[in-house]
Amino acid sequence: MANTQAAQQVQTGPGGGGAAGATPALPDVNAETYPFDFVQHLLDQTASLSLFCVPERHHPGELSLTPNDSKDWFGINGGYGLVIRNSLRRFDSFVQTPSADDLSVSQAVGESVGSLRTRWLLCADNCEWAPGTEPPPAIYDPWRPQNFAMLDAEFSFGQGNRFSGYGKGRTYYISTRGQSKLLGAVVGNLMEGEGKFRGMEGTFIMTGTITPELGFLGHMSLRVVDPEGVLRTEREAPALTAIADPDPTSTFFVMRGEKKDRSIKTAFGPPPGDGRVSLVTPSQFRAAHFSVTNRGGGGLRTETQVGPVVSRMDATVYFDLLAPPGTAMKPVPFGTDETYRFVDKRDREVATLTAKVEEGISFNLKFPAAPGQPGVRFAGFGPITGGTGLLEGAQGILTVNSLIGIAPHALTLVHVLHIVDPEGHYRASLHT
Amino acid sequence: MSNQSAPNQSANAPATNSVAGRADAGKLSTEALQVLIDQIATFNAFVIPDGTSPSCAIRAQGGGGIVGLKCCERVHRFDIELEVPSDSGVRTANVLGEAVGRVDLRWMFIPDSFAARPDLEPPPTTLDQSRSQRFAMQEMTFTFAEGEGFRSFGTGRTFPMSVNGQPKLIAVAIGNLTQGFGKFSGHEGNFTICGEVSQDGGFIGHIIARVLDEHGNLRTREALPPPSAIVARPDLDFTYLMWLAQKGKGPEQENRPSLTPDGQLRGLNIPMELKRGRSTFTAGGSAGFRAQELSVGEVIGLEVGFGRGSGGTQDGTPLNPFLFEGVARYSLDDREKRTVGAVTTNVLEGRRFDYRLAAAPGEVAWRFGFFGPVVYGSGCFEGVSGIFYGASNSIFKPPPGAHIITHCYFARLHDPNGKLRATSGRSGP
Repeated sequence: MANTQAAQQVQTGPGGGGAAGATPALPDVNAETYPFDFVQHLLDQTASLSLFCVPERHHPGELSLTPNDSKDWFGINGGYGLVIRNSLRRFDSFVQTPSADDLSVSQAVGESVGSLRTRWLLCADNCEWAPGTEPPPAIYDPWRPQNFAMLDAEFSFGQGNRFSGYGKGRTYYISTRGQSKLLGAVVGNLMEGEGKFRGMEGTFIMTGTITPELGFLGHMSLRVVDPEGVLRTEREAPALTAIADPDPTSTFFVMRGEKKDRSIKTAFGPPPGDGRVSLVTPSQFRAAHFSVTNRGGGGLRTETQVGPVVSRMDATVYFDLLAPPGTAMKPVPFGTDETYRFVDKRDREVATLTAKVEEGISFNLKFPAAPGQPGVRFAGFGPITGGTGLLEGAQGILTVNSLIGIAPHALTLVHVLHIVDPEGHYRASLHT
Repeated sequence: MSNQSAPNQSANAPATNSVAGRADAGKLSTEALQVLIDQIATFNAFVIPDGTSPSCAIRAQGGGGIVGLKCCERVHRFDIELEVPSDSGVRTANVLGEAVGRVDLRWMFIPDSFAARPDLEPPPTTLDQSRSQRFAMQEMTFTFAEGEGFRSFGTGRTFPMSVNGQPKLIAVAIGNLTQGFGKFSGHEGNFTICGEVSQDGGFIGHIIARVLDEHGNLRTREALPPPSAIVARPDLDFTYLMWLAQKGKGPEQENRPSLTPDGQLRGLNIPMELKRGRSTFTAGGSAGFRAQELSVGEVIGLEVGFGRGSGGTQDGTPLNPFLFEGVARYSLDDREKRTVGAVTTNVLEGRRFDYRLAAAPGEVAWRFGFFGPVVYGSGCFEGVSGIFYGASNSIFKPPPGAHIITHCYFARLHDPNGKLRATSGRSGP
């Protein structure tokens, strides 16, 4: 039953924050404005796309960051930013049930279902979320972590299904056993859609490698709020037609997270001391197939199949309780610390991994079927900070792409652990 | 206008010219100013640890990690000669000659935010070979013949790279002469180094030095003898390219402002003609140190570049050089003007020092060094990786004013199969 009092108390930070009054009395995020299972059902009405970005074959030297003035050499590709041209391909990454001596993923890249055109303009560490504007420039330094703005992003899936996006990103220089790699991650918002994306709200997140040819090679998770089932389908998607692995040196653990059930409570943790509050949320992650296709009738559609539990996770989310609800023009920032405990089929821990979100954005989420139910959609990324057992020494990037209710604190999470894996330690053969 | 078109002088005369000594700089032509800013002793040297120290590493007190390098190294002649590009690509001769001097170096790793000064010892900072770090060249003393040489100070960065699957620590830096002695007494100048830290903690690599020489006591027009010995270069997986850049004629060579979408000036678009160039030096015999006049050859390509901070009005001083950065694409053409290869390079660190021309005291001239990565190559440079660096002198006036300049550009490129190396001998301009 609705708990309107709780709904009035909480607004929308990624953990559920946003007190209505001047005094940030901590709201009961577990209160049930609507029944937990109902809110969970509403959250699950989200279309989830798991895609692989493969650079299109082109001559990077001919692309310009200033396409309207090719004689402005500020626009030389690779100088103050990167011109990104990707095909968006089907991607399947299924975490195998862990065991004491095996933690692996069956991973395959399939046929193209769309494309991405965008500019990444590098900027100073403190550059703001500012859709439609170029940030103060910074020169591309492949050895240093750098922030960037993702401008003029056009995602196209054919048949008039497309949307524009804006995002913020960061590069990460990784060095392991004498081999270096430059990773890039982006978090962004669906700004304006057409076709099946018309009027939709959604969040995308990317993690991958910046190639020597100045391209982006890696994973993208797109989640679109889809209560009408425009993109979601229960029809089984045709099998993926795998192409040669475009990046054998990266393994992506793509997992679907949720609370085990309504008995799992979220609690406020110790405040981090910077005016923000923290929420501690236990959850579990399952292997999952996130299928997307535009083959057959009906055009672009997605299908999600969830597998067994492979990890438990404790997350501490840091956010500003007093921040107004996040919007496309001014999302609310957040950060996290996360610990994943990979478990075997008897729930015994076989490995742990710690990671953090250091660039997180959140947006207000409303539920047409549940007026007054607060919610948040949010996404972010950050570095993997440590590992034990089979994940000892792991390096890479965490991305999160999530929607949650507040009071009750129901979750639908898509987390991706992008692990630099030059020797393929974490790869299983497809669908083993 | 190249040095080759300077007024006639005998080959053995010091390399001065007739515009020197003129005080009416405001009336000097662009060509005359070009001559003045080219009164530079330019020399390429290569340094190799002399092997007398089992380790050049300076360790933190208590036996901790490496916090610096202290080494005595041999200074060799090093001739870099780019052939005219052809349909088979770009090739260059790298000739490592005899040792002609020594350099005593002491480098200390420094925090990213540290404001390095020659009179300030940096806090101990441990070397981390897995990431790029700054370092200060606290001591860098070149000694050529007895009583000839200079002390210097500078800063640079390390760049970890993977070469044939093995980690290498690349080191690049810009130095400024702080005190000359012997023939170098009273001279200003700067240099840029690019090479790698050897396993014993020494530095192996190239040094391009540009020393102001308005009175011509360091330069000669005489053709200097070729190296008396050819020494095996210890970094043969890399090839060094050298080319020059100067302003050409016509509207296509004019600098233009680069504006943000809302009309704010963000920097300058600067085109240049690329030319072949050659320099060499000796330091033996009764004449002591002599740098052969930099010879400027034919046009071999085009530079299109954006400079942020280029043309900045702030002063650049030895203790507080003006910092600049930028991106450029260098296209090298064959004799038929067909581009055979191009590289895109980013200057991550450029340091500019201002000076006054003795013959034109009303003019502020600039000397500067710079470095950064080669971020992309095409044509014969497809797939290359390495470092771009150089040293230059110029007089700059905002558009539409004059821009008089001579760049000495270099690239140290990973070239394990030697596809960029010429097998022939000298073929320079």
